[in-house]
Amino acid sequence: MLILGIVLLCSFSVFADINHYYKIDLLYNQGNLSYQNLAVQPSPQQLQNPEGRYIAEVVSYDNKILNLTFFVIPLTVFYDRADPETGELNDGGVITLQRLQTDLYVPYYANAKEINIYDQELIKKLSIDVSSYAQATKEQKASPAFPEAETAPSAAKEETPELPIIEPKIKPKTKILLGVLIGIVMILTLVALLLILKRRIK
Amino acid sequence: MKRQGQVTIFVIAGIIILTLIGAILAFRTTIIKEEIKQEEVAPLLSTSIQEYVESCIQKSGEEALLFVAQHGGYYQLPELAEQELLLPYYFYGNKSHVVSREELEKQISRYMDDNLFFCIRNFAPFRKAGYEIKQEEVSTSITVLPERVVFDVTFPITVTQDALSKQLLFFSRNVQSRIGTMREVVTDFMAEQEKDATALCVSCLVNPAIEADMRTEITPVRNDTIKIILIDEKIPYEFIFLNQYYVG
Repeated sequence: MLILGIVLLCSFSVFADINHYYKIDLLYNQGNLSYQNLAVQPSPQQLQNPEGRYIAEVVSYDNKILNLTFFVIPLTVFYDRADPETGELNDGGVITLQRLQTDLYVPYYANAKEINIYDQELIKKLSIDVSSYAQATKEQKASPAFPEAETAPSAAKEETPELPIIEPKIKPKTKILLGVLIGIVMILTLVALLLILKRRIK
Repeated sequence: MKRQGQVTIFVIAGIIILTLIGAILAFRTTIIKEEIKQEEVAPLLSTSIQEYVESCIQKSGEEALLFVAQHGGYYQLPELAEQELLLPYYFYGNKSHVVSREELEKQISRYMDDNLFFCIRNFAPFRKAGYEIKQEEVSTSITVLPERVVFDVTFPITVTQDALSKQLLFFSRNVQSRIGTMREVVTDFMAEQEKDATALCVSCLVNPAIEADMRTEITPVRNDTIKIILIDEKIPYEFIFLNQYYVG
């Protein structure tokens, strides 16, 4: 009973911290890669992509490689065709897809700047800016390599609410106006003084 | 001649005084106009940031409730949980281990504290527009009600552009969810189950679920363990947990 109890207790593991992953909605189109959506989401388990020869490389602000994820873009589909009357397989083959949408999960890093995706020939196919998801630690903030105010000039849609447009620009016209008025008053005073002087000389 | 000269001096002095009064008046009007402009801009800026943060609370809140419900009311699973299925045991060792309301609120708030950042994304769109934004730690307080969940978020933010600065602290959003009702249904079911721990009391679960416009799915996962899914028909949520029965 004691052993059984110990075994049961051991089977309940205390879960470590929640993992976070970049979820990239990849689009393959005739050899070209792009992405439609990017988000960071939590997961209580390790998320793994089916392994393949594509590589997702997570790069930090100081250009260090933080992680390499190998994944596949499943372009090949095997199919069988059965005779509807007899149920026997009478045909089959392979289809190679030209366009495909797939989800890619890459481990999240608080100091990641970008994710680069390479194909099987190690040719860079896509670069994704993830800097807006970076969280600066005290050490990183002190480092010039971490541009705190850097924004994400990404062309793809990131899952963020729409920003209300406001343009609160105030031009400091006051000082200019005051200067002009004082100038006019001074010129008038000078003209008046000159006129008085001229009359007195006469 | 002297009189004429004196008159001229008085006229000139008058002109100068009038010009100065005009200048002062014009200057004051400009100041007032600028003050009005600043007063108009400050709330506009704070409103847009407030809306931005609150829409993120809404989005992250909806995600939090989905995540937590799918993991039996937990963001971080308790010790009494199944490792592969990532689900807590609600009935184990003939005892109920249903998540308490306080624990449920704590778990949802943890999700928000951890994940709001990924929606806010360092206020990237605002920084792009030229604002300097300083943010501090997020702290969330959750109130689970029968038909909704209230997210009260304390998130100190200071927004600056040019000489204009604004501080924001509290944000709040209500998210439609019956996660509280789901927990109540399961709690009542577990109370009945504890009375007779030898077998699964299906009616103890199904009847209160139907009364609350919910349906249930029961799947065996092992000889002694079943997975129970409570599905809300009104707002599509799935509340999932495990029950383990002693097989003698």
